[in-house]
Amino acid sequence: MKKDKVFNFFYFLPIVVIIIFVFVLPLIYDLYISFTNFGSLHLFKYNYVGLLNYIIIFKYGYFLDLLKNTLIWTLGSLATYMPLGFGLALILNQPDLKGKSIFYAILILPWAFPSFISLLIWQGLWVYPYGIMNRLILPMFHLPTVNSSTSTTDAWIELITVDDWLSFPYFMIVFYSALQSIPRELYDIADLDGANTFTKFFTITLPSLKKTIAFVAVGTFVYTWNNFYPIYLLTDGGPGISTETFVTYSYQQAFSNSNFALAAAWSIISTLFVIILSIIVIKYTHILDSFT
Amino acid sequence: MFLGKNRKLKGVSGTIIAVIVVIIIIIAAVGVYVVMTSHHPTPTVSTTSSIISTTSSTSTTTTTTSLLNTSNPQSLMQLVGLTSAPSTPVTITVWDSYSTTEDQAFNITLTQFEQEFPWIHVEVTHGAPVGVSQFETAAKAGQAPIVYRDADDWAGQLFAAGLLLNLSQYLPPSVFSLYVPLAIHEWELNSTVYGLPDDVNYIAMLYNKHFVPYPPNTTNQLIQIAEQVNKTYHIWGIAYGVGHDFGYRFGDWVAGFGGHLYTTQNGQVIPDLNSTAMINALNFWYNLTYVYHVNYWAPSVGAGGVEGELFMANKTAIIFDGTWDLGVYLQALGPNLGVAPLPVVSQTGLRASQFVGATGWVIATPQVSGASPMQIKAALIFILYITNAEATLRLGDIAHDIPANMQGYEEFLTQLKEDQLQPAYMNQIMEEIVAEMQYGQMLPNYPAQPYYYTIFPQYASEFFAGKISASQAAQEMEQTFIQTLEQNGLLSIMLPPPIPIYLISYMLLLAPVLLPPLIKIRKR
Amino acid sequence: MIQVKKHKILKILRLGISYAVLIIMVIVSIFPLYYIFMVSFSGAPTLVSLISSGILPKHLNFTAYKYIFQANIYGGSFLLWLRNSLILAGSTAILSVILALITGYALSRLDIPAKKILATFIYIVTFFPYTATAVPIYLLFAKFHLINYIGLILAYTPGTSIYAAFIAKLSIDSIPASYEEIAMIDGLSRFQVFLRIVMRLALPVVALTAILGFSGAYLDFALAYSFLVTNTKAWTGLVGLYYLAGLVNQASAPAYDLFAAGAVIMGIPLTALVLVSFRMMTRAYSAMAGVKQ
Repeated sequence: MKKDKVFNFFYFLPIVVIIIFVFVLPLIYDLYISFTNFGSLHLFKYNYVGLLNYIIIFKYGYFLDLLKNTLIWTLGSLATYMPLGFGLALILNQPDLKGKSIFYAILILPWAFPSFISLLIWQGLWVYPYGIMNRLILPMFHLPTVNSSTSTTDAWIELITVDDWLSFPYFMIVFYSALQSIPRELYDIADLDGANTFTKFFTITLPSLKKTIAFVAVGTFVYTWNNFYPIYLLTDGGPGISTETFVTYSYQQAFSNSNFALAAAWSIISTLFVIILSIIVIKYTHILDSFT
Repeated sequence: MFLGKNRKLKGVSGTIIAVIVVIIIIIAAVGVYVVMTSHHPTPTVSTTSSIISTTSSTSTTTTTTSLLNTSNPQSLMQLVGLTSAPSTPVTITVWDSYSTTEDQAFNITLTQFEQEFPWIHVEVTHGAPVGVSQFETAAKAGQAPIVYRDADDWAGQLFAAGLLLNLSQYLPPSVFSLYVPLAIHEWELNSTVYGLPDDVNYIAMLYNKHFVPYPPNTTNQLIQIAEQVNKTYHIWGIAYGVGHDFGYRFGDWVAGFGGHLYTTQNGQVIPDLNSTAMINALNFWYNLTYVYHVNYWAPSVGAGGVEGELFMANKTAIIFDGTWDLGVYLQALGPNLGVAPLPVVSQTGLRASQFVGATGWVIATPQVSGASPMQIKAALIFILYITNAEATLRLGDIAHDIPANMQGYEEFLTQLKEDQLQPAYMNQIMEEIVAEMQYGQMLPNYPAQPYYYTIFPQYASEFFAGKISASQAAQEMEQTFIQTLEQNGLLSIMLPPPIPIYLISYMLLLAPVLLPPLIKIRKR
Repeated sequence: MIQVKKHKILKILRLGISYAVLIIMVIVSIFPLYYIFMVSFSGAPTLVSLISSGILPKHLNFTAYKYIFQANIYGGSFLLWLRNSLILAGSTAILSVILALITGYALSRLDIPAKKILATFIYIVTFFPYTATAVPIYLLFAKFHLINYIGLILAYTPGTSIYAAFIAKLSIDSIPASYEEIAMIDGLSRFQVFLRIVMRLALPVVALTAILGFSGAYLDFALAYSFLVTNTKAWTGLVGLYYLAGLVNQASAPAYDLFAAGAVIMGIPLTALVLVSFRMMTRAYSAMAGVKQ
């Protein structure tokens, strides 16, 4: 029995070994250098500086601003593309809707197409006042123009709408699949009992999807928290630092200022935050309970 | 939390968990140890440099010409202390960070080099990254190239970090007088030379002759012409590109208002951003945009950015862009492209002075590249050759760069005066560009310079977005700059804070737990 | 009668709104992609002038595509790089699938000491951002001579594998253990059971993991560039594309039409793969939601 158990552990071994190399060792390395002054000026002979980097972060380093920005970016994105994906999934789930496959296939495209080029195009589309968004589309709907270099609110609008465009298909797929898995009989029984659409939605649909929503939400929350490329390309943290998040700032410290130690400290702080926030959600929704 | 909920640690699974955890910790600690220790070959630098100094003094006395010939293989070999080609060939790794047009010139020079030095095999990495962090990472891993090319303001940091070879130790001072003085001066830090420049570049005022009747000489004229263009053609007078190099470009205007980025105090170089010059310069551009409405803030710079695109699409009459983009604009605008020096600031009577930057070739120290003394000699020969008159002249002819080699520069100027470049109107343009160099100022190459590039845009963009005032911006950017320099040990004003006592006592308490595994590893 | 009519009106209203929303979303999804195509046919490296010139193109210009296919840079060509990308991404996909299924199977069926702790540990460890792991991975892999394709594959795999392992676990949960018991009684070893029964029934998860692993490796520039820049023939499609479009060197003016054309060429295999297997992905997520009742 004991031998069997130990042998079973070998099923986990490959993933654990790779994780150690790709995540755990870098994490320990970053933790280690965050207590030193490792950087371009101390590349080979660096010294232990204790908590200096962390003190810099909290005393001089715009910690609260970046936290606020990261939360706006992550929660703002999540709060917009999740309902969008969900709504589209609900629409597609209607049995009497024709042409489902075609709609579905086209709606997946923003997610399937390489984002490096989509982001570049979006950058051009939002240029004020030449891009199509400000020239045609926003005026068409009588909406105010968006100028991300002069206004922080505008910058966030631009960032979040582009992130929505890139990510909504993923949620549409997830929710659509989850909706498809709810047995039709449940709805039929509810119909017999005379329930209307709203009741059915809140008593059957939502509860069945709760765990799916939570798991995917946590996963995407973390992904968006660490997603630095759209911000880097579209607003580069501007104006000022009003759209800088933890990861974009850490990247700037590492690759523009060559201050690897400070960047590592920022990454540690950022990861601690995202872990704490995620653990709270995981505990609250018990989504990992089924993983034992 | 999870452990708390399922406290069912039976004896058997308890020990297995302990074993697993210890294994993981040991693997992790070994891995960290492996990464931390870096064994690099210790070079015998000191002995070779003494050999070079003795032979070069004898060789200079035997040559009759005062100019060293860095095109001649024999004299190049003599410069590095070789009397004849070695019997075994030598390989050097080179990171080529030229643009595609510059590469055309580089490839020709490279072929020639390989013909004249068949014993040096050059391994070129194409598409090499510009910007030092990739080089630093590779250096840390002991995989840096032997020869590398970068801009002087970024390479200064590398040299201060001890990653680049001190060329003053390997080459006689007469070699450095072969280059345009401003260019070679940019590659000096504390009177030691750390790179050889190949071309000089800077920002110029580019205008479209179709809209602009004559290039403005003062800022008042600039505003006048821009307003005219606005009214008559309904396009932007000026488009000012804002990008990662905002600070680099804006520094030109700070100089025009009488300011500079740094000043020396008690023998130390410190930032001087909080000046009336900075405030006036900021306000000037603010007015141009929001009061006179002649300027458009282009969100990206260069020929590939919105600034250049508008210029090429005839949607703006004047931009301030770099000489490196000339090729693209020439193609788009043809003879309509006009070039002029930056205007004189009417308020001060001083001309806005562009930073003259020089890209150059450097050699990594053997510690980071693992190069042998013979490879170092080959590398020296290579960078001398690649920055000689012929090679830099080729860069000028093919890629419209401005040669940094003195002889190359003068030959280039002669070519321009004799209208040798094709098409014909290009000669006039290049002459203007070259003439502008006299108004330039030296681009600071202090190790602090890259920090300026990230700090300036942060506050400037807040100011231009109307969130803070100009004086606030100037004050805060200087404050942040000084703070950052202190934090990185570039200004020894602030010492690292002492570790609080309570932390020390915690560490002492934890020592018995942390020490044993560490001791175990050391013993290996 | 009135009830039926009211029902019908509601139905038409519901479907009408549905189609309207769908059509709007389709337009929203497509128009940036339309621009990508237009930029690739524009023959002009300017984004703004194209976008400001209007919606319909003046004429189609194939120079970008021609240039990409004919480019021969120091021994590397775009087709060679594309082939490298496909091999790299394919290998990553295969390795990801293997790892995800092995781990998922273990999570589902096997009794392993400290399983919950390990599961939580490997889940949380992936929260560490790429920007922080990039430099340490390079330094670590350099020590072990892994600055090559093998190192890249190893670096790309864990992220996808862990996420997919959890999904695989749920999918395998829904396969009755009795299938395996019967097969093992018939004489197959656990491993053979794993290969024949589990892999086949968990096909949707396999497809999902393969797509995620493939696209992660196919679309990565940063790590691939830092690992492969020194060997032109070993570049991946994306690294080569960035070089050709002049995006690597700040001194070159970027040629956005080349970039777009290359993106279209690279996007076609990926989009095709996604479209072909989205049905499978749907079923994979159904399994995940279905079990959590």
